[in-house]
Amino acid sequence: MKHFSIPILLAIAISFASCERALIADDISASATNTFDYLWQRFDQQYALFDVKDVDWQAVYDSLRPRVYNGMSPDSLFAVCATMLGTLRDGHVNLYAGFDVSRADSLYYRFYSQSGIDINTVLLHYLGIGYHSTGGMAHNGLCHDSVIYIYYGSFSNTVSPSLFRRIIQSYPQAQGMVLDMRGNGGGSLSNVINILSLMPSHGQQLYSSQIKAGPAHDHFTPLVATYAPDCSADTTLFTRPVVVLVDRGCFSATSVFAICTQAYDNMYLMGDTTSGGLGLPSMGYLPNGWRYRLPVTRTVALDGNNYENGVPPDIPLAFDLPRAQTLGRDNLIDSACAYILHSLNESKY
Amino acid sequence: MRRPVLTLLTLLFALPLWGAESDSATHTFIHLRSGVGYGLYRDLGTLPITYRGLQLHPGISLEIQQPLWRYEGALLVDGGVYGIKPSINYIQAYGGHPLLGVRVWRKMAHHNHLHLWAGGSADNLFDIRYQSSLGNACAGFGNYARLNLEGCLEYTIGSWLFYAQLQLNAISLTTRPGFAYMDNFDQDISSPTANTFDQYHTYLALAAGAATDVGASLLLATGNRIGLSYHWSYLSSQSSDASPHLFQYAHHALLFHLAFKIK
Repeated sequence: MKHFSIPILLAIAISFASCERALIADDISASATNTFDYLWQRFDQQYALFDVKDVDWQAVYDSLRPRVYNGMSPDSLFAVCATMLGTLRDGHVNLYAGFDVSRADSLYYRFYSQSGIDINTVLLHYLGIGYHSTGGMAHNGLCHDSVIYIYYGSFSNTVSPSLFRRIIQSYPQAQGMVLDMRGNGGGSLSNVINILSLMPSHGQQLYSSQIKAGPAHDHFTPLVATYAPDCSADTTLFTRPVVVLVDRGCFSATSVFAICTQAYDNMYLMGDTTSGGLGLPSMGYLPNGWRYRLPVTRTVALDGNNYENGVPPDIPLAFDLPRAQTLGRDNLIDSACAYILHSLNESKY
Repeated sequence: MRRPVLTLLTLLFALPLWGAESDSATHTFIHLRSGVGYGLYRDLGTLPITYRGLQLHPGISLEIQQPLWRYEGALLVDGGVYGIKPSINYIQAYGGHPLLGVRVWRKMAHHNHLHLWAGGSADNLFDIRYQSSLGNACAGFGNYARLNLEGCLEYTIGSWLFYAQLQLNAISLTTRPGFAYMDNFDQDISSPTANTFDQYHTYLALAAGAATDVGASLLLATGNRIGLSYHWSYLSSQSSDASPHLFQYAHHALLFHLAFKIK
């Protein structure tokens, strides 16, 4: 027995350690066909918005798969994959290859061809040289400080409730607010709540959402409601009219903010339909190391609609670019100010 | 660095510890463990390829030895930097696995210098990984509360102790991200940190892992021990309907052991 002990011990160790190759199978190869098929399958199972995108995903595969073959160049493979993802027309869908990033081109072309803002006009004639910058918000008083004008270009710029309160308190004579979010491509959802925490609420529902729970296109968790922060005890809330300016450049968190305005009596959307993007994205890797991004949640507004393809304004108004460039006047800001002051006059009489 | 090492060696070889010459049948040890290793993991929630990397394996445990029984409580950690390079980019990730566990062994048989121990252990292993480029799926937590069956074969010759241990995971209460695999999705955006694990699922997984240790220890006159072992471990999340993405993790390590007899 003594002579066999050491070999027995070694044999046990070696046998279990060598099990590893049997337990963890080899990675699938990073061939072009594997990469394409994996990408298609991940979207087939995890993408949350097939219903509102009206895309026959199987047909997309059938039409593009013949163009993929092992040995094709990375650029060619990237082009085919990007074409496939482009059919979803979703700004939250991207393919990152290190040498290139795919985008939902139709979204961007739509934005730039129907731009809802001329930033030079805003800077020169509304914000002016002496504008203030607080928590990522540029602001100034309009109409003799009776209207607070705030330009918020990105929800990635953190604005805390205290900073937002400070802006409001800087304009004690204000009868309303123009919250200009045109071109705001989104960012952190926590900033949505931070801004709304200064608006009058009693904890009402803002929207509901659900997350992909299985491979079928309609397999989701139950809808769960998101509620506004209950600020009923706060005496510093902004109860005056707030006109939120939106355009095709508003995406993701900005669209979420837009649907949240449905829950507030003093907030109005003015401008063009946003670009949507209400689903929250997740990411993963492909066998060849490229990354992909896709939304895995869907969001339903208070009125029961899924505005994934764009949130319509309460007050539709097309941006008059020639007027802005020739007269230096932004018809949306002017209309928003007039709307606020008109509302004020109406409430007086 | 030199001073702590010298202090440890002094304690180990020279210090006549207060309980070293006790005739009591119960002995208590503090084990310090350190080592380096090679680890690999694959999480099919975000990637179909295997990360590989170097790891460190610190750990500490308290062991009570009796002629027929052994009891041990341990805090063990392994963690490291991992990478893959499937294309032009090197993709890096960081991971760690703190484990808190207790074990009980009973001597089942002995023949001359050969001893067979058998028993079980209960532990909790927390898996945390960070892959910065994966946005809402960058962290990938997992938790495994496990019951294990264990056996150990020991052979003593002179001042040397040779051993081989085997651990088989019997059952694991596993917590993993759900189908959509988002680690920080929360439906209540007003308090995101409170809802980080909203989409995680907990399920029972059977036979989800195994581990072996093969090593040798030198028994010193002070009652302390110094040793070296090779350690291999494998963990699988298995899967459930709600959390179908398999996570597999394995590592090989060369461990250096110091055991101080304190009673």
